[in-house]
Amino acid sequence: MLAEPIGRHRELDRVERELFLRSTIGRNLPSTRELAELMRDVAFEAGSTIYHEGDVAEEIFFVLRGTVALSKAGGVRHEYGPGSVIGIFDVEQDKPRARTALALTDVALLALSSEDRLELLEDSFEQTSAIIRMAAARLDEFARYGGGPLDPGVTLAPKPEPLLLIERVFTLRDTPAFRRASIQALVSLAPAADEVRLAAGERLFERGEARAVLFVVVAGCLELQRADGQRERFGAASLLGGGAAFGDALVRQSARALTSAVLLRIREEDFYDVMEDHFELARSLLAYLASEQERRLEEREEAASRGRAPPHEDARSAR
Amino acid sequence: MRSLLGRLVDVRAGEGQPAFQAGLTLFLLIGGHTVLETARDALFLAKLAPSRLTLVYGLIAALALLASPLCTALARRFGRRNALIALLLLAAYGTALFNVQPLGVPGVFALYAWSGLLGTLLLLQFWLFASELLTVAQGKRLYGAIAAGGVLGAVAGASSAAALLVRLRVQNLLLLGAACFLLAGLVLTTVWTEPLPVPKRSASASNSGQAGWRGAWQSAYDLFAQQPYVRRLAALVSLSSAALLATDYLFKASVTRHVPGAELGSFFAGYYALLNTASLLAQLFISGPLIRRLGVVPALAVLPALLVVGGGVTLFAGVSLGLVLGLKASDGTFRYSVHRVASELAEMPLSPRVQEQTKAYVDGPLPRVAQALTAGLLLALAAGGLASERIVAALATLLSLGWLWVVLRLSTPYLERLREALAKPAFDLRSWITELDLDSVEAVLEALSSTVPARVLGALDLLTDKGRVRLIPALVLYHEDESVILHALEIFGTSDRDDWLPHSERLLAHSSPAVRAAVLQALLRRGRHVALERGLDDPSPLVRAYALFWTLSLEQASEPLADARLQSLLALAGEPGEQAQLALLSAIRAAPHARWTEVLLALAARDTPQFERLAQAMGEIADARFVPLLLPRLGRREGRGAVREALVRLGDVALEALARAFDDPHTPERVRAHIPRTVSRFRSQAAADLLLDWLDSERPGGLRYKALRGLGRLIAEQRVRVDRERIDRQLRLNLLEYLRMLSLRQPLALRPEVARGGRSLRLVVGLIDDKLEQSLERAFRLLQIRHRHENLRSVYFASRSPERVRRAHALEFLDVLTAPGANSPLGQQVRQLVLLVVDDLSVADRLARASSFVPNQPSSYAATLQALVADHDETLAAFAAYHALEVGSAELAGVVVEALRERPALARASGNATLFPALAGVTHAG
Repeated sequence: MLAEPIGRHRELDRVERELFLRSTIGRNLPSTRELAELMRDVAFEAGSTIYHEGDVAEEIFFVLRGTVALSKAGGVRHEYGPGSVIGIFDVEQDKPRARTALALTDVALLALSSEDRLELLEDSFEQTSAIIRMAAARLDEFARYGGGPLDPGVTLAPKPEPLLLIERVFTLRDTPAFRRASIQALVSLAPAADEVRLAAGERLFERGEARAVLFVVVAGCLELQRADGQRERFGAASLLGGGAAFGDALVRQSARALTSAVLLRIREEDFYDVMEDHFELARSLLAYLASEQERRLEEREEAASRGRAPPHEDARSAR
Repeated sequence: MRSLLGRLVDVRAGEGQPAFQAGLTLFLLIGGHTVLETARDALFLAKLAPSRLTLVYGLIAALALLASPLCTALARRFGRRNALIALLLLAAYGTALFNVQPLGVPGVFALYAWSGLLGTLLLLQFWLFASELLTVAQGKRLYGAIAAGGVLGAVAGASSAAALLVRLRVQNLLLLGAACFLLAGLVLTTVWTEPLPVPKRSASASNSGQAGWRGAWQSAYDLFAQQPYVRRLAALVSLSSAALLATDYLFKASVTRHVPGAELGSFFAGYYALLNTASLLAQLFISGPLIRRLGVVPALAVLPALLVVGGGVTLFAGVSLGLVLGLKASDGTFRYSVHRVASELAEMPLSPRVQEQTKAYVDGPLPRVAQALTAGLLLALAAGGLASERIVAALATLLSLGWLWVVLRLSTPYLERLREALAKPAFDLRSWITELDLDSVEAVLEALSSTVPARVLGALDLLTDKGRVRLIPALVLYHEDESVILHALEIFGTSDRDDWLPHSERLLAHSSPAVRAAVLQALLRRGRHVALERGLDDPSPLVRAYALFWTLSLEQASEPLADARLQSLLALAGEPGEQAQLALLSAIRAAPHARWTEVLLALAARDTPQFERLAQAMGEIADARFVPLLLPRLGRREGRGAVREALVRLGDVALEALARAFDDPHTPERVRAHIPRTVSRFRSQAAADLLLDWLDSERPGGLRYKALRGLGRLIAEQRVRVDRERIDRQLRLNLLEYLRMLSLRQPLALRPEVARGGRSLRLVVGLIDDKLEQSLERAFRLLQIRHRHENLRSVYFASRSPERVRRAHALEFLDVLTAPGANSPLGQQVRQLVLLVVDDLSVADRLARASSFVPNQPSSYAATLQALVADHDETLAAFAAYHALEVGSAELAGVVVEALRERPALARASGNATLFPALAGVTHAG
């Protein structure tokens, strides 16, 4: 259900709206007007609810003016000012609203429906890849890549050599980043990958080597070591380095196999080529990146509530 | 019995009960009202002269005018079903009260007005409720059957009244009427409806203080002022009511003249019984199929067209009883069947709020007002001795003609309403700034002072786009952000302003080479050569390259490549070399000239890392020799956009080269894959023809899909001709593929969980789902090409919406849209397929209805796998084969082995990756 403004609908400052579009999301698009055609403007009075936790998420909102608070029952409240994007994580993951959005002051928003946004991205591949890189860079900032506390001993599974195509497709389908992609897309991606086999203890790459490449673990356990000495482990059906791997994160790491391991190495160029032909792959990846960012923010909130780190949210950010 | 009913009415799973309940409610409602009318007529005519009827008509019109908005307000407040229940209970109570009162003249007057008012309000509320219960698509199939309940109610009510009058007093019939209303209310309590999403009134509207009648009048005025479609409906309702009343008058006048008074009763009884039967038969056998076949609006034209033809014949041949009976028969047969159903359906695309208002201000009072006015006119004609049958026939024909004219002009607005129902609220482009007023300028200038670079850049763009470069203060060159300075210099350099020049000189010493190069470029564009020599000595190769470009351009060097300074710049290796090439290419792009062609060819031969800039420069000079250098670069992501742009600028020579490359078997697939989209950028008829040829060919599906997308994009941006028949052929193919895939999916999806092969089964089903999605998406893209001015994208989304009303609107829109194209066998087939694929049906139902299109649907799991293994799509066939082997059935293994013998490529499935673990073993086993 589209959000219905319940407050007095203020006539938005047209200049402000156009300036906003030109200086933010519309800047890299061929036509700001084209983007504007897809949006509607909504206004809410202070104290009114923009959407409730549990509502169907169909739109993302760009804050033009005013302050919006996002909170979930019993959780921390975050405030967002002009230039922020709200509701995007839910829309990307196609799930109900995780938080309630409340107008703290009179707010002016631009609303863009999920369908229209996807259509826009499908037609603008550069924009899509830029968003992916941006989300990856944001994940990189969290200094956690989503590795788990794996016991290397239980991650061993014999795999035929060479890997069967279907085995590759199964692995990709089980990998969270590609879980929502179409089978057709995975069937196209699977043969484009190279198979890498490592013995226990063998290096996959050293710092500075892993440029424009992605690794999907088929079997075994890999350890990623960051420049600050922190280590994370990745097991079967996981993307080495998590969502941050779509940026420059891997260049600054080194990786080695803790057990004998099988991986798929996918050149970034090949990945984007398949993505251009199969937009659902981009949708799947965007959903994964959104879920990862949300998870990191929640971990940070939890740590903050335990007094381990201060809660921090950029005023011009997305959630 | 069930199958007979099924043939008569297209009732689908889950629809039977609500349709029956609605039909039963209408049966009781009309039955009760008919009994009430019988008693009313008898009581009224026993005490008053028929001429007093005109007074009561006027009274009913006035009451309807007041009560209809109240009723719809009640529906909005408590829900449509509850409002109807409340009204039925009130009707029962009020009618019963008339039974216990002695009825004098005022009493019968009140009874007549009461029954007339109930007739208006109960039907209004019932159809409001029905439109909530059923969607427009369901209504087209089921309204006929529901309305048949009403006709049956009329028959049952009239005959019950006649039978009871043998034993009861007339006034006691009122109790039977009240009982019917009460029963109808009770039946309704068992019906569940999903309330329509009616947006709440905005705070400003509700607080405007326009309560009461003034508010109601304002609301009615707004409705007619803002809704042209509602105005047309109002004209239709008024003219049809007036025309039917005039026809009825003609009928009664003619019968009175030809039939002896003593036989009038039996004549009317017999004739009405005949009409009721005809109406019922029309309801059951004609109404639904006719509306489905013709569509809503053409069906609305049936009755007025018959009346015009009948009236015309009557006028020219002279009024005879036979002709008048024929006219009345048209009215009696189609008024409560085809016309009633089509009229209700015509209101379905209105938003729930507008629909309620239309019921309140149009359907409720307008017919009564029109009838009262027509009755007044007839009375006046009679008083003046002018009410001859010929004149009344002329009046009825004239009114019917007006009615028909209104209907014929309803098609486009009806489609427009459907479009609006499918569209979403969006940004109002009327408010997009075209001119800047003083307040706007103030706001933009304020933005230029922002410390946020993106905001300043946005303001710079806005002023440039609106042709207000002169408003950009030269002091923006003092901004601390480099991107702002660079953008401002680019704008100033291409403008006719000079006031920024004094502020630019300090930038020649800026720490950033990019800024120094930009200021040099901007100055040179404005004819300031003072900084040229300084630029040639700049430590940065970026700045030196710009300076050298302009030096050689000013010298008009015929062979710049022979210049030693340029050679040394191009010889630079690493980052300095890249910077020099970047600057040179940017400069050539900004001030293109044929003298630089050789330089560009030389840079291409060296495989410059700045290929994107090179392509941009090539696009500006547009020499045919660039084509073979640009084309292979389509296969590389980096700079692909610039390569496309350059090829487009090269025009026909590039288009021909692209066409050759697409057909050339030696062209790498990576390059070929990007040719269709590149061709679509040419925006020419030749490009459209090429894309259509590729789409309508035997090439792999992926390439044809790219051609389809390219053609769609081209058609959206450029007016080109496309052979509709070829598009229709593609549409048919994709829709058939959709149904075929659905028939293959069904037996797999119905299979219970299995111990072996579950994972591979999910993969096969997933692949089929992808193909279903693909074929549907392609079909909608083709429809968009076929109907370029429509927004088929929103119809596509609506057809997949979780909201049943939106899905129904999508179906109705497609029904109306594809009707004109269905005049050929291919067009008709396409229409049937589109509606079959989009219609709200269960998979089993859809497949059953598709049996003539997809005759050999597999019925078992094994048969489905056999069909899949033999499928022309190798990936699908290979995965199905893999799954068949996993299942472990000897029969299926044999099928797979045979398939692999005939199609060894299946073992690869995609690329060179192996699919099967031990193919040889499998072959042995077979």
